[in-house]
Amino acid sequence: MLKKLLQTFVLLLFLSASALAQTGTLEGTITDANTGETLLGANVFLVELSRGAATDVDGNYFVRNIPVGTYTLRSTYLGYKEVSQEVTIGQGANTLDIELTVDTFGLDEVIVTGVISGTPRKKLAFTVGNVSAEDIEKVPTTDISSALQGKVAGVKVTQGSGAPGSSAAIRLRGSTAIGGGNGGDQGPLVIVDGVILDGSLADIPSQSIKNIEILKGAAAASLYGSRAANGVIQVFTKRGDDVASGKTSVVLRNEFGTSFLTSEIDLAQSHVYVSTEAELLEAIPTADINDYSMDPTGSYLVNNNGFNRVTIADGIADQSYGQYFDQLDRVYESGSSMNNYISVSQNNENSNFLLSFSNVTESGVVKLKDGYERQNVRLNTDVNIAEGLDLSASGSYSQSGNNQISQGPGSPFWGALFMQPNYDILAPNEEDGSPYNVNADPYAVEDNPLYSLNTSIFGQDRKRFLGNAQVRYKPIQEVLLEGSYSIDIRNSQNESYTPLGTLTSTGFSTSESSGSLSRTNVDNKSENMSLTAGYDKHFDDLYVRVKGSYLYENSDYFSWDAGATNFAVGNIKSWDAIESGDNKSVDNYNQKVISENVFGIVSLDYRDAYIVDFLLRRDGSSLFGENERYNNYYRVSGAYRISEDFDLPGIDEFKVRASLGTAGLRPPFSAQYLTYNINGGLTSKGTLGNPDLKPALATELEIGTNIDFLDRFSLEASYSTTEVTDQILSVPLSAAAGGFNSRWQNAGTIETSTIEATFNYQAIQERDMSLSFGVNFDRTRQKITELSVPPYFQGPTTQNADVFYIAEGETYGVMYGTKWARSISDLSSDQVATIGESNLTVNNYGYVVTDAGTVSESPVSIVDEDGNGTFKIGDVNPDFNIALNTNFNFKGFNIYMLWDAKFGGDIYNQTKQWLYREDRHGDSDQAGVAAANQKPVGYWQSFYNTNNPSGYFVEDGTYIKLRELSLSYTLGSEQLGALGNALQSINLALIGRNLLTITDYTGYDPEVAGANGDITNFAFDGFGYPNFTQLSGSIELRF
Amino acid sequence: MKQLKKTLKIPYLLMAMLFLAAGCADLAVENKNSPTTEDVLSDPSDVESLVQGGFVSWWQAGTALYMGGVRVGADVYTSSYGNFDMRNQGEEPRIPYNNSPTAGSGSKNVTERPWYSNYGVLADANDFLNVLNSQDGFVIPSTETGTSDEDYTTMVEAAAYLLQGLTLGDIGLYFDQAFIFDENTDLSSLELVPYTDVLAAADAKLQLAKTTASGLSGVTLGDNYINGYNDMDMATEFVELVNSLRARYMVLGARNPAETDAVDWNSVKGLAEDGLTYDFSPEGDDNFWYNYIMLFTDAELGNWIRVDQRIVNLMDPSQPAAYPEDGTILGEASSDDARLESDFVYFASVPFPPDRGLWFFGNYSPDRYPEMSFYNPPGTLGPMPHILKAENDLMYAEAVSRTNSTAEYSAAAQAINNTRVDRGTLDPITVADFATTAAMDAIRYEREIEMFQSGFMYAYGDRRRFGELQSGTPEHFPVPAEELLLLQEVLYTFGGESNAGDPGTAPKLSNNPFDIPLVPVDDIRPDTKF
Repeated sequence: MLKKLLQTFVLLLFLSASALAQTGTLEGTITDANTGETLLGANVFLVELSRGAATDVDGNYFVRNIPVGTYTLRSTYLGYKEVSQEVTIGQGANTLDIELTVDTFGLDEVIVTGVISGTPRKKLAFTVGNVSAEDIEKVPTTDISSALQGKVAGVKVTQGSGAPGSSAAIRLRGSTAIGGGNGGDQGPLVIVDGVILDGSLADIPSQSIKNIEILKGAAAASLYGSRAANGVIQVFTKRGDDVASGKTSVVLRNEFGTSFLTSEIDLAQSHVYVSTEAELLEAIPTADINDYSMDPTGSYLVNNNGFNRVTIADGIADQSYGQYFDQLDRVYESGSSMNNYISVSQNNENSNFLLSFSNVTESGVVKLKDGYERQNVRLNTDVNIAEGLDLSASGSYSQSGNNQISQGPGSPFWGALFMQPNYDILAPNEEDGSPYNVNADPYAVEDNPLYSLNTSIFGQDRKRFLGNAQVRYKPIQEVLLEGSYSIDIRNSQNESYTPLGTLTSTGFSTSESSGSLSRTNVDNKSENMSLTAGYDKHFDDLYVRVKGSYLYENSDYFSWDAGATNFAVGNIKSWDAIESGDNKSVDNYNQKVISENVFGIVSLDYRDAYIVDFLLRRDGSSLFGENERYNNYYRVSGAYRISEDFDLPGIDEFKVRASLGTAGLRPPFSAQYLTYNINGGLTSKGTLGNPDLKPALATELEIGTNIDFLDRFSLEASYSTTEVTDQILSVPLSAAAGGFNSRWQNAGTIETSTIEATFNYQAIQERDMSLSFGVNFDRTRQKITELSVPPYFQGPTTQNADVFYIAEGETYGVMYGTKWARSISDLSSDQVATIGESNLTVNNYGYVVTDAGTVSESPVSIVDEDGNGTFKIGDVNPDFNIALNTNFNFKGFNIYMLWDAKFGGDIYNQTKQWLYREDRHGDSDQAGVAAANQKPVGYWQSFYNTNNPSGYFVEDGTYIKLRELSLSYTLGSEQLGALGNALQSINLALIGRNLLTITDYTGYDPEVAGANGDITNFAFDGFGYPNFTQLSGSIELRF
Repeated sequence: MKQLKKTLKIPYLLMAMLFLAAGCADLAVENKNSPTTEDVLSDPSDVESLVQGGFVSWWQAGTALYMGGVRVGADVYTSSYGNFDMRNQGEEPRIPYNNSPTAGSGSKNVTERPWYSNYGVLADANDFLNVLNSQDGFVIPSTETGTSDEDYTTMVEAAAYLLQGLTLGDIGLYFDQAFIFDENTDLSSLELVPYTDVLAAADAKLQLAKTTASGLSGVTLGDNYINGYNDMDMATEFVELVNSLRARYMVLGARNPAETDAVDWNSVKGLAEDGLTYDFSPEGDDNFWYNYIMLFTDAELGNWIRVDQRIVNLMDPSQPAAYPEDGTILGEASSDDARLESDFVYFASVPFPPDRGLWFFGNYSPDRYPEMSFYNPPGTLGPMPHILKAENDLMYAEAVSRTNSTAEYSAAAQAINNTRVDRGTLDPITVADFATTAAMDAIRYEREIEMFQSGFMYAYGDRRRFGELQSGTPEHFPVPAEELLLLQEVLYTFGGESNAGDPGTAPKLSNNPFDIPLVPVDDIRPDTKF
């Protein structure tokens, strides 16, 4: 019913129109006040009519059909300070020339996210991060999330995997969700042109972005209520109104690049097995050399009965292999990338549009897989239907295909590291002649990675439509009515296929798999409808704005998956080829979410100096327990622009501000329900329902200041503290609770605080030359202050990856595990007594060991007096993050660099841990190590600790990265000669991404994350797709 | 200002209207992925499925992979992999069971899996009995031809009592203390009680199962209860099973030799006399009825878990009882017992990393149940032994021996020879052997070899009741840390060389039945003490 009413109302807004009256025209030229250059695409806007025009290439604008009268004319141009003036329109022609001055630090940039209506940055009472197209276009990324990396203080972007088509995880300031049953999702709410995204950001190309606004926490994001505790990112795509009135613009950009791995992992080049009779007899005095023969690679003796190798008596791995291959070099190869983009936009008097198409391919750096490709088409249009009545619509469709590679233990990334250097992984299988001998290294725990890369298919196809239509109607000057409808339709299909006859190996023997095929299909549709009424009026020095809004959300999710094993016929990727019998299985899952929300907001601005706003929001959602269906949120914020009241020498702008707000996190779909598991028609108890389940509640206080001085410097600094109560956690239940295992409850609190600062310096600002520097700094602390659940471990869901300990009073992001003694005093008296003090020594690596200098030398793990053997071994939280960007322009030349650094913050390196077990890590290789310092393999293997959390593998994750670099040259139309008639400009650029990483971290890249779960907190290196370097060249033509 | 006030009213009005609009939408959404309690209990056949599903869950709880660790700790299997807590449980000298919230999931499963799964099943059985008792005239429509609805319902009731007995019994075998509750218990005031009380409660439920089933002449267990036993006759076969189970819990419940001596062996003898005349081995269906621990020890897989060298030594005394520490790979064993060939298979290579301790090595895998197969085609099919008839026979023989029932020595000898001679082709045990330790040794040998791969706690129970667990091995397991934290009880554990002989932890061996030289603890493996 309500849905119908809303639709009718939106329709009415559409159809309303008003009559035209006696009119005049207004024209003029807009120029840069300093240089006198004419400005193309600058806008003039008659506030009362909500109509305007943009300037053409010559800087001229022209507005017709203006009813005679006096108006406020607002002139804006991206990067220039806004000018408002009164203009009187008489019948016929009227002329007004306008000069604009550069807005060095974006004080007049209008922010629309989280505020009542468009508000210049200088009047904000809280921080809103902003990234403009200019910041993104120099080094375009394949998706939005990585475009934010290093560009805004307090924004943590983790690109934990180099897998083509994977999107980075974003966290704004501190963590808000303690990982419970679903691992802790710190991801912000993302809105693209009014469409609230459900799911991945990976489908939106960065070239289509005009700007991104970021609300970092509840103090700013309260307007978005129960979805906004993680902050909000709002993306605006480019529209036709950027083009001069009456003009058409075409942008054609092509980028071609190459990708390659620049880092390596130190792998052993020596082994520990006997290769001579003397060595054999030393190891096993009773052995008979006739029972042994040399292995085919000439590396070691193997037992004729079972092919066992014999570990050399001293256990020192310094033996040469008979032949050497660089296995990593055979698994990784340089790849290619391509990015094509074309946009056509046109701005007519009463309408504009922009149509764009982009095509992206990224092969990645792994042999035999072609990676990711995506096509995206977008149409944005704005139409002025009648005076005061505007329509905006945006639509985008994307499709992508991804030939993926599994990651983690057992994946090709793990196999690649375990192949010993003496085996030829390019040799064919002796069983069937197929490529890449599956058990090339029969001693390795894993099969030849090239074999599985070549045989198995693990693909994902995605299709997505995003659409938004918005009608704005101003019946009278003070009132704005808005109706909006948006939709996000998503389909993804995953396929996993192992052909019949695929080989798997167990040491020397192989067996043939009967094959399997599984497919998962996910359909998701999210719709939002909103109605908004706003009221703006100036009362002398007081500017009052009031707005109320109603939002209705509906989302449907449906997935099914089908799988089958045992092919009867080979080479047919169809379930029809499956043997009859119980070999097929199907499953489905669906969920629906309905929410309705209302908010009211009042903003008061007195003399442009005193600004306060009050907000109240009430959210109802089907995700809340039935006794808690509605929850309220608020915000109170204020700013005082001191520089408006006092003339401070050298200070252009000085503002202090404070904001207190609340926002929520919604529970997952099934959390409130009492559930039973059904399996094969039999039911068993699942979770006990909770009708009192509430959204988690974040309360944030942010205080800060903005100071701009000497017309060259700008500083924004903020301190924020957030308490998120009512954490949504799956609470285990006692065995005596009647058979239900767990119940979702509001059961914890996390407190975080962040200090962040952004500093900009415009060193040179001249007509032909400019140089600027920007620094973003942030530091976050996060602590669990309350937890009504027994303490537990969590981590990415791969094997033995639960390293991160969750307990009341503990920092969020700490690792617990076995700790190795560095001093005898670390050990308990019981330990010292059992081992015997005379057998304990501190070795040359600084570890307490037993049997020093012998084949049995082993480190000792600490057990305290209470018998506890688990200690804090690391903390992922960095001391601070800092990023530096610099931009230099000289005539057509431009150099842009983005350096990004993280100081402190530990990484758990399980990749290395596992290599220690197999004697494959370079540390175990004792060739070239002074005899006195050599350690037997058992010493290194002890640290492996059965793959349980081991303090030895916690490493400092400090790094400095040259994340982005671009060198470009632009030829303007005047330099293009005859071509200049058709072409506006040509831009040639050389672009580098991840060019240089300075770090002590021993894995591929210190920017790592577990494959799933709480990605921004799980700094866990576990055989993921390594991040790689990319170099490319681009050419952009503008017509 | 007046104008201001007046105009401000408009937006206030608008906002008020909007706030009123909230509450219009219907926010109640159904979860279509899960049935509700009403759905689950809506018709009698759904109520019946509580009991049917209960058997599957009980089975899975007792055959899951954590059993790998438990049996490595009992020196039945061997494996040095960290998976399933195997390396921890097999460490020498023994280390305490890690019962803390900081333990790895493999360790946690050792207690959490049997604890929570069995209690979940118990709750389902209780739910069924609650419905049965609270609804006058409640009957489940019979799906068996020739069985009335009333008899069918009584059959389900007997099965529910059996489930109560099985879950409480398994908990009593495994944990030092636990909860006891049934359909009549007020759950809000539960306390932990010692295992002896839990086993007594299990026995009472099994007796109830027996008396309920005894009257069901001609009625069989329904379909989808225990795979392979759709035609189990309630008055005879079901009752035999219950008798053997009662005897089994009495025998395996003993924690040490003193408690073994204190078992009511006369009752055991009586129950075994009326016990199983068939193997109780549910059939694998590769869907619900599977047995992961059999699958992972399967010879076809061969490289995850091996047979402990101690078992090989039993069959071939010329082989050492503990794997040699000098790096020698042991050759193939030979034995008078035909089962070395028929039930086990030799591998020349050992998959385990030597630096973790050569005592972990082993060359044999079990191979008696070939339908249990990891590859070609993969499936858990065929019989999965829980209690073989042989186990019942051996309990009988042991009870005869321990009660000195001379008149029955001949029958007891036959009970041993049923498998010793028929499958093992070994010399028969005679009446005379009961005068020496020979008969008892033969019983213990048969329990190790013939019952290999039997159900929940068969080997662990024997090792502890004969006082042969390695020094410092837990004699039973503590209540899981998670449960203790929920109950706000103090965390505790068992095991560890330094706790050897403390309550719940096996003492240092006084006699040394397998001639393993007793070496000072510190010298066994100083390099991987922890």
